[in-house]
Amino acid sequence: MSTKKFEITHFVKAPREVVFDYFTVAERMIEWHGVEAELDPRPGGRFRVRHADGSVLEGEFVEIEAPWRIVFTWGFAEDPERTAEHTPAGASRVEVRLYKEPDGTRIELRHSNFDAADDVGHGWEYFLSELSAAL
Amino acid sequence: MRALADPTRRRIIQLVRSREVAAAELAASFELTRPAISQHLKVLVDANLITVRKKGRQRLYNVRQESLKALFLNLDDYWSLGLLRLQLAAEARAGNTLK
Repeated sequence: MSTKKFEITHFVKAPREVVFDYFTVAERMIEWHGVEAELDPRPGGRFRVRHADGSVLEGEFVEIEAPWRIVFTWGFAEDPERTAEHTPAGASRVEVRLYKEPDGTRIELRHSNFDAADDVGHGWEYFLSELSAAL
Repeated sequence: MRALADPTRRRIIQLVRSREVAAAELAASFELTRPAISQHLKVLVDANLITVRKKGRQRLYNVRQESLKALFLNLDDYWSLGLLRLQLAAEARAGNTLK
């Protein structure tokens, strides 16, 4: 199984305290990621996000340091309709760091241990359904 | 990605992703004229996102799975789209708080 990782940086014109909630509070999370979320932001707490296409991401929070650092694990929950191999629940790791800037927050997101095989399963359907949901 | 910048074209892709669909049927799904739909279909065909074949007098469209996977199925897209949405939501919220 080959795995990959990557990093992405994104600037948001909002204070860290506001941005932090978008990763830790369910009703904020579903404004940008998924349509239903269960989040228990403490080490060992549950991380669960369901997307519009029915796929469910599951993992747990690993580290939480308000208002600047969030680490959680992430993978696809068991789904009998999807037989292809994919990153299992909790298998990959996402680390989010929020850096204070003069007029906002710089988000640095690192996602590691993601199964490259997932590149042919859920992604594009997810992406399309999310896009249409956002319209 | 310009081919996908348009909401009508994204909806077309959703409609044709699981089966072949005739142009007439697609036109009926949108409140658009046949020429307008044809123009959108041409953009998608030219971008290699969908295929077209003739069957009798019909033109049938289907998604080109490989192209879509190559386009969408990477985490960069997943997170960059996600963070863009986060940005819009967070900035609207921060703006409201400041006012």
